[in-house]
Amino acid sequence: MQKVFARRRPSMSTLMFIGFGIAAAIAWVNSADANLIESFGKGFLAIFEPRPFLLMMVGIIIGFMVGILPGLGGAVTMAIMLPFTFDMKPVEAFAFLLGMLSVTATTGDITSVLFGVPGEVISAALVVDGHPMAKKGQAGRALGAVLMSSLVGAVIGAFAIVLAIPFVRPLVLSFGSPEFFMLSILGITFVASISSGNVLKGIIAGGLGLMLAMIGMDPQSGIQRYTFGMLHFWDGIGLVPVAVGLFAFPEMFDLAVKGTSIAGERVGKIGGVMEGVKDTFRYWWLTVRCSLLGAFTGMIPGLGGSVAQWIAYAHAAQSSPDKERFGKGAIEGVLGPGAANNSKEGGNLIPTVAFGVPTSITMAILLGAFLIQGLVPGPSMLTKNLPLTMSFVWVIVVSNVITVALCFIFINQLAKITYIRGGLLIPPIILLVYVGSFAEKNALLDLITTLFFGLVGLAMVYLDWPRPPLVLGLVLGSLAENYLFLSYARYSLDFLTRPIVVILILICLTAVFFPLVESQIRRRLAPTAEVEVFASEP
Amino acid sequence: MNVRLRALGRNLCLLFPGLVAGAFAAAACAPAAQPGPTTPPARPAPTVASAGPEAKPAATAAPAKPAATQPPAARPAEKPDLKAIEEFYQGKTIRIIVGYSAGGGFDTYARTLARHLGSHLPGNPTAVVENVPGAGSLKAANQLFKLTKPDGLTFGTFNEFQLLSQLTGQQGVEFDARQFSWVGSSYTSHVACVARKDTGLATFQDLLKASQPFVVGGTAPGSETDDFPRVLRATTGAKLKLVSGYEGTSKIRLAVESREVDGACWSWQSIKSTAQQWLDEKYVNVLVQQSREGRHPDLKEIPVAEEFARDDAGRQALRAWAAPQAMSKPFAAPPGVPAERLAALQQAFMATFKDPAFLDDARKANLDVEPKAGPQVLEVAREVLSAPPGVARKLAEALKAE
Repeated sequence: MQKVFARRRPSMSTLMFIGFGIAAAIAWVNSADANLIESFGKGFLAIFEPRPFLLMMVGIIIGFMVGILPGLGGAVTMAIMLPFTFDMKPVEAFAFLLGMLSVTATTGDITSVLFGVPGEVISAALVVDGHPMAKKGQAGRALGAVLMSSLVGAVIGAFAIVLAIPFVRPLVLSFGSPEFFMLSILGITFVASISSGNVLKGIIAGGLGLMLAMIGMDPQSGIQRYTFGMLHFWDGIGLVPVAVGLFAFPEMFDLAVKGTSIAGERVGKIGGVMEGVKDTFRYWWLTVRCSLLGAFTGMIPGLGGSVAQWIAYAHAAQSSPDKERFGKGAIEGVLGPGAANNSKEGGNLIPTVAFGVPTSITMAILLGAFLIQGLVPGPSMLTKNLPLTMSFVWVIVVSNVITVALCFIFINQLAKITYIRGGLLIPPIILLVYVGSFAEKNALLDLITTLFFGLVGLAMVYLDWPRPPLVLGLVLGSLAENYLFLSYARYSLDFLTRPIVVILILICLTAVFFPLVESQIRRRLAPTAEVEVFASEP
Repeated sequence: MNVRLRALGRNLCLLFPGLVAGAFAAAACAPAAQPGPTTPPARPAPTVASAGPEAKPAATAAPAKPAATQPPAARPAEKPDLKAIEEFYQGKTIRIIVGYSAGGGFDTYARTLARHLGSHLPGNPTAVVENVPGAGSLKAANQLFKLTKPDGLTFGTFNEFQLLSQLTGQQGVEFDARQFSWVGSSYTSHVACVARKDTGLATFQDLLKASQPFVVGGTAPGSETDDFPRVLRATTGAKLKLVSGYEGTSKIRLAVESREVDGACWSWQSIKSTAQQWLDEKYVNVLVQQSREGRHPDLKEIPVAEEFARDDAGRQALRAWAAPQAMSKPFAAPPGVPAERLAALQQAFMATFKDPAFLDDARKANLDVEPKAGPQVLEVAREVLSAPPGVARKLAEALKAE
């Protein structure tokens, strides 16, 4: 533990966190009042009444299944479950829906780790380092780490709601399209740090992702780009077929070629669940930072659901002293996204509840639940209906505690799946992969897209190209383009002079050039092993 | 090496059938994954036809009957053979295709309808919803027209503004709205424009006189948030600057509050349900409205855009643009559905929209209920598509992005 702390250098983002934290604390203390604390208690008691609690358990069970199945997402399930909330009271309805939603984020990670197939789109980042751990026989450790960091993330994300309430309005309103544009650019600059050492290939893969994001009807003028005259491509390529194909197929081929089980070797206690739990506390500050990152990313309307995990992964890689381990089974690469994709649920709720502005598809559907209950999202949710808002916080916390506790009971059995012969695992996994990619749009062509990106993924693996930058480019490309157009249409080039934009530009420049400068310095100081790694940089 | 190759061969033998079987099984399973299917439809036709060009020859029902055979189907007066219809629908599953993904407005209408429709049809079939999102529901409209079997077991909903895509000759349109077997539509929509109060714009006249452009937020071409300001600008000369690309009206609302834009135009029903607070606090002024059926009862004092049109062609273009709103959230079956089955569907649709249980659900989900029966919807569709070529051209020009 000492060693870890000693080797960590104070990274840019750590300093940002501390600054943000201090500012937040001051603002919060100034505006918190007794009502907040009282509602906090009321919300807690509300969800432990028999009906809400029972419905939450039903939600947890549904969410558990949906999360485990690859591709089948929380959004579709929520939409289908929505009519069942017609006859429920508000607390019950949200216990049911939120219980379900927060569990999908946790159990989706399990599939990602065990099979290398993203259980949910929001769990794709877990594949990168979680699955290599499973291959090394450390599935139990990876799962333990995922579950524990998910729990920590969920709790931090939920309490972020409480902390954000007093100043959520000015915070969200100070971000407009130009700021969102710069945030997505900032996200793109992370490409370099998730390239597992090969920066040039990473940048090219990221550029490919950006190009893929351009497929579809241009939202501004309705011009078709790379659609080949097919209606199917008017809305662009779905994230599910790309992510699932890119990560699942190479794993399945690898498994087929090796002819063994997923875990190549058996290791003793080191691969155990408790080891993973301990890892969460070994890298405690990383987990906390990534949780906060997730909550903040979720809080910003406009970044969508699947960005948080990649930003957290990039942060974990960037702040680690030896980046080469990433992509090959680094525990930090599991803890970061694991924490962030659960904490973002809490963050997501903030603009949804306070403004009626959904930050993701799932939140848009949750907004439907508000209307069904006759509730109007907005300031009244933070005053008159504050106990209900607080019950959301507790649902997220309690449902995650229950899920993680349940998982720990049979997680060791679950990890044993990695010792099953590959030939038996491949057919059902392939089937689930196809069902998942079909279910997003009910389109047969998506199966071909999945297959295509499966082959692309295979080529990338064999030629040693990093895949995460491609996904990140696809996720952020359309966001960046959209906000650039909005900013330019509204402010023309003046948008570049807005204060927050200027700050973000400076951060981007630092993020790009800091590692280069740093590597120069390091090369002078320690002209040994590390030179080889950085020598390949452009 | 040899051992490796053999292992590879053995496992690939497993893998490739897996890939192929996976693709087929996924296609077969997914529609059945919808809630509450009882009996699978007895049709051998592919459930969801691929939108690829190779699927075109598969369209068995493509050469649709001429439009002239349609109207008699709609007359409920001729007594349909109830017994035969009951036998037909008994134990079957009706599929309602939705041109958008789960969770949106169209999906909510379809799912609420699906919950109650069965009990109003002879034979009480089950109804399931299937989402076929794509191209602003154009994909679903095309699929319904070309690839769906007209057996009265499948109908669907797509954006009523797709009629204008047909009128203005937009690429990708492969249907003729006059030939659909219209089942009904859900309500009449009224579009209205609101401006934040501190812009100083209180009426539409202010806007016509204004020197600064009025910045409105929009979502995408083809939606009322974009197209109404465009038509308004072209026909009245109002200084409107459209900033388009917001992800939904909720993001536009946020942009209005953060002063990125000054206002927006979208359906009055939606403004009331999502931005009631703005109206209560007089945060915004309603400038103008437009619909096929005149002023909305809530907006008696607000002028209709037509009144400000600079010439007759402009007035007609505005009217043609607004006409589809009279058939909001329409439901259509493919051309050529047997007359007595279509009549049964139309009657069941209207009966469902009067069912207290349905109305209760609709009220909870905040759905407007002002149904039109199939024949009336067909009338609206014909009216839209009978606009003279000059008006269609003017409209196409106005809608074209700058």
